[in-house]
Amino acid sequence: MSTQNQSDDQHSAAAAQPYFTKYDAVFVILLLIVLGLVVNLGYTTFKEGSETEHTKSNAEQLVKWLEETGKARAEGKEVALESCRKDSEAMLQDCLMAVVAPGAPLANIKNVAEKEGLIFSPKCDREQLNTHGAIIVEKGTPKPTDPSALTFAAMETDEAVNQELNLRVVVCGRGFSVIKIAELKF
Amino acid sequence: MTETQSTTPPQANKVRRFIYRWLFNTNLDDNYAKSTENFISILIVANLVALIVENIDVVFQPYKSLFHFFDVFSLVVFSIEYVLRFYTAPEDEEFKGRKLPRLSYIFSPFALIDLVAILPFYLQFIGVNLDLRVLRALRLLRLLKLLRVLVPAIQEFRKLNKGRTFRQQVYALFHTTDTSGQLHEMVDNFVVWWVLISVLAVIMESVESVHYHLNIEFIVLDAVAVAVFTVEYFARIYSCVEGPGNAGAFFGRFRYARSPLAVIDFLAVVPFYLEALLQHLFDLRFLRIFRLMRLLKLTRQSKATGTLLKALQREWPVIAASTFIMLLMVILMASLGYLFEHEAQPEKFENIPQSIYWAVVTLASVGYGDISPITPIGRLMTSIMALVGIGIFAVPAAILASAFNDQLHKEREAMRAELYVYMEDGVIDDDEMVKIQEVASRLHISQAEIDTLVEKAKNERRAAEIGHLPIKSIAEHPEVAFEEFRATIGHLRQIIAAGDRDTVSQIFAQEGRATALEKAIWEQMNRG
Repeated sequence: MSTQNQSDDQHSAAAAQPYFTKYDAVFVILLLIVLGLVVNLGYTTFKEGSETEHTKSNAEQLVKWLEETGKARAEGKEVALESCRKDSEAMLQDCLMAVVAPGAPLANIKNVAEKEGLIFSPKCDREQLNTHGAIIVEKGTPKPTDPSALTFAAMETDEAVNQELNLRVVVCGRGFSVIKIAELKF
Repeated sequence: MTETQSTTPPQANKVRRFIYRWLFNTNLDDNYAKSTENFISILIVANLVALIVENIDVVFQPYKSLFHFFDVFSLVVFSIEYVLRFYTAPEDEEFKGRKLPRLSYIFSPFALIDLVAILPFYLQFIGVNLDLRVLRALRLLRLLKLLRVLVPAIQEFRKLNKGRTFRQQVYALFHTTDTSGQLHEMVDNFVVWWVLISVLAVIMESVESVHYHLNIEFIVLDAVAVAVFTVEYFARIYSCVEGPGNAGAFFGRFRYARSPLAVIDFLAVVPFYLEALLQHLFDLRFLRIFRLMRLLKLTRQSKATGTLLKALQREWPVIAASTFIMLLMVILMASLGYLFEHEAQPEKFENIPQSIYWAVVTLASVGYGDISPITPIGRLMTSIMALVGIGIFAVPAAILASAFNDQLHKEREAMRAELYVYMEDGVIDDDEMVKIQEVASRLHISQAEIDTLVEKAKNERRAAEIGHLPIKSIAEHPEVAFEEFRATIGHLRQIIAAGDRDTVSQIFAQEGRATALEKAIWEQMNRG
């Protein structure tokens, strides 16, 4: 009963006020602006996420190629790219650049996250914007305490290709986060 | 009487009425209409989830047959629902007055939606070739079935809030008020579901293999969750001035924004904005873990949390005092540990701050064992302090447990007092019972306990009406017993004077109606 009276009071009090005031309009506009911001930020995040997915897919292609070529190298079979052959004097850096050069097997690989971005980078560095969206190939060396386990570190630029290499492929994703793709022998 | 009803055998009418009453009549409380609605709603949402997940190959491909089975199951359920609604249409208030109730049902908006939800499957079944993408898009139409519960809730909300301002309506939508209705419950449930989904997503994101494959899905999920929580936060801040204690356009809102629940709401969304805006400048990935704080948003729904907070607030000075003693103990023990052990183990007891870790681990009876005393005096001191620590560390927990229990007891007493107020008119109506049950659910009182309390309140009220005092107080106070006895004699005299003496005497004379003592008292008083 008292609730009913209270409700009636509220109704009669409300009747004196306009349904929608300019302050309500301010709230609605503010809400729409914030929602617009969420949509915008959400879309930007989604776009960056998609670019990271694209980079991951590029890295997966590279991993597949490296694994196949690594197998061919191990079996002494012919490798199409000269700079990637086991008897080559080239550096791994040269081999990787040759893989993505125009007309090469993975010529479609590009840095999709940054216009001027690197395709391969030794590290994912927030200070260097062009490393965002890059593929990072790291070299694995056996741990002194446990030779069966490997520790991976940024590759030196003069790493020769004429040896068996333990590699780890990672990508520099959204927010400069490092995403591991695979570990392989080359 | 409609045409359909008149041509249907009475037995069929009975079955039809039973099915309608049992499954679809939302005006009744003692049936399964609400459960049916909930089940169908959950199935619709599960269909939407399945439709989204089907686009994720890594999840869909291994469980393809399971998804197909679920789709067929959903279709069977939706088809049965459609057929039963069609069959029971003559019982439905909306169609029973029409000339052709079933035909009217078929062309009603909800029935058309129901049909659209199942039709693509049957078209495909009879050989109509539909593109898979079209088929998936058509399956989205199943979402429209939610309108069956949403539209009545909106209508109810509009009716309850007729004449109220926009802000009052927003307040009613996000807070429990007399005019909130079903729509508020739906909004609440919607937010709760998003809290659970987003927290689950945060947990699953930490699993590398899952995150690797569902990176984009997690991004979309988080953005949608933030949009939902942002709208909720803004709506609450905007409408809070309608609530008690938050009057004032600026200060009222500021006061509300500082409240624990509003701070939780704010923290639930802020990591998204900070990370999205500043990710190129700082590594803010650590903020993602704060998304787990969204779970705290559920405290708004947990009524027992309020009781715990009240207990904490009430006992805060005592808890603060015992915490202070605890801190003193820790510092004392760390200092003594440093004093006695530093020379023997300089690398473990390097300084007092390092010894604090050892002191806490020892006093709290955790004892990892990574740092332990080796000197005799250090060991003796540790033994004494560890024993004292058991007591000291247990004090705050004991105070809190006792305060919580006490608070529950108080609230139960308050509920009992409220029960007596409700009993003033002699009955507890439906609204009062709903309120009692709301309080009872918060205080974890079972239905059996409520029934006992109600019965007790009824008895005490009855006793009060006829002037009897509880036996306990009579037994404890002889003066009260004396007065009560006299009052009872007076009451008996009133009965004798008011009743038809001859007829009552005849009843007393009947065999087995009264004991010898009762008869004797009657005769004695009747004569007097």
